[in-house]
Amino acid sequence: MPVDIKQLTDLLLEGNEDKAWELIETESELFDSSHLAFEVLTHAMQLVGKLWEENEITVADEHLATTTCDYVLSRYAYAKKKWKQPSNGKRALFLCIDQEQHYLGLKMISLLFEEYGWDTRLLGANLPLEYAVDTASKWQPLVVGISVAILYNADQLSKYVTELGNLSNQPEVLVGGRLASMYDLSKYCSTNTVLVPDLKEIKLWLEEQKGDGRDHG
Amino acid sequence: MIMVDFVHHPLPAFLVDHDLNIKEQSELATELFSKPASFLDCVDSESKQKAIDLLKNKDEIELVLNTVDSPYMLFKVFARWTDNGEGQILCVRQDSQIMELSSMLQMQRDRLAETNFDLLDKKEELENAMNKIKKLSSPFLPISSNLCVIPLFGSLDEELFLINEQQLLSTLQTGSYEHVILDFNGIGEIEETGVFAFQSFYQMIQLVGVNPILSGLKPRHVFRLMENDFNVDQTFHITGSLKDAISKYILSSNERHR
Repeated sequence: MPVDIKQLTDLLLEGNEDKAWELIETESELFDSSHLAFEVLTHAMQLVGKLWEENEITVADEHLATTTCDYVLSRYAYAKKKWKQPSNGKRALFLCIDQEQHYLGLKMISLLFEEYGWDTRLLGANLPLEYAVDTASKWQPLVVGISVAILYNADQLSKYVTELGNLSNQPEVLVGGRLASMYDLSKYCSTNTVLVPDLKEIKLWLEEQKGDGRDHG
Repeated sequence: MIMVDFVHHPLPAFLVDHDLNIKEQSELATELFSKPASFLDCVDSESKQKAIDLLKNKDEIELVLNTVDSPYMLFKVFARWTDNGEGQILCVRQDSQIMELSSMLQMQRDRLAETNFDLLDKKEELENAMNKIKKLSSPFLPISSNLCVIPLFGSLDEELFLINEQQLLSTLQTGSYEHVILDFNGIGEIEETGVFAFQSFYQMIQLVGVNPILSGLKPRHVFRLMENDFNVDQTFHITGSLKDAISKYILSSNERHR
């Protein structure tokens, strides 16, 4: 890892967004490659979770770290705006299922899509199905990305996958998030659903799509 | 030994043995958790390891517990152990405060996102409107079979030519025009990038075999063009007003056709 994860984690827990940003920004390797930067932030947030398990911090501390990490991500995306590829006209919608509050991974994925020239909308945490369906049928995205992190939320996943996948423009449904990296979620999904356990998989998928565009165009 | 009235305890409370099996519980505990056999039965799967590791060693820990109403609720759990291995466990709900805080954060995020989406929509609208304005800023007006006018409006900038150049050049090429008057009456600002784009447009007009004439130039236009090295070569006719230009070139072509 190009940065000291413990140090980054401490800064996130302190709510020190400027120092945390500095740590990422000054490391050229991280500034050049978003998926490395996002991995570093993911590791830091995983350590936050571990610290809670060890009773070193409380859930309130976790919330502060989450908001700080969110800020660093936004700043990262803003700083890298001019390197992003020109719009390819494709649209992707991202959301967390109802009651699901863990939205940081989703935000990272959405930012990766943007770098590859996609138009994205990040609807964020805790989105009831009817809103998701409403937005998706109005905005007509090619891809709908769904994130789920907590096991007891998984039961709802199949409803989301079915209803969103059956919309008139038949968007491709991607399912990711912490649960996708821990369990095989295929029983909650349809045969067309793409399961993406981590950022690397998303990057590969995006590269593949880019290739597709060239072949057919 | 101190007797504790567990049943009427003001908090959800458990009396457990060394292995966390429940021996007694308060009314409030029954209300919240029903009647589990072991305290671990009320602990969420992802908090279980934390409970096993730390319940005995720490005075207070945060755990996610499964209640009758919600499978996922945050509690602060206090534990005291006696020498004979018995323990008292008290559970205090944290959710209300944390949920309030987190829903406030969520609301702020939603508002930011909404503003962001609104701005994006407006930006798209604005870009479309700007494009339309630019498209209307250089109309093509045929005057006679060999003379036409392109009045330019607004700022002379790169976009003006980016958006309209192709269309205008192909119209000029397909017609049999001898002269095209580029009228500057409606031009306000001249931008540096606009001068370069104009120069290239001007040269391309010549390439398709039409003579460009400038009219309506104001002194500040001329200064601005010269500042940016706009070349006025010998074939260049600069006349005064648009009216003069039209009458001159209509006249000259009429004379030749006589």
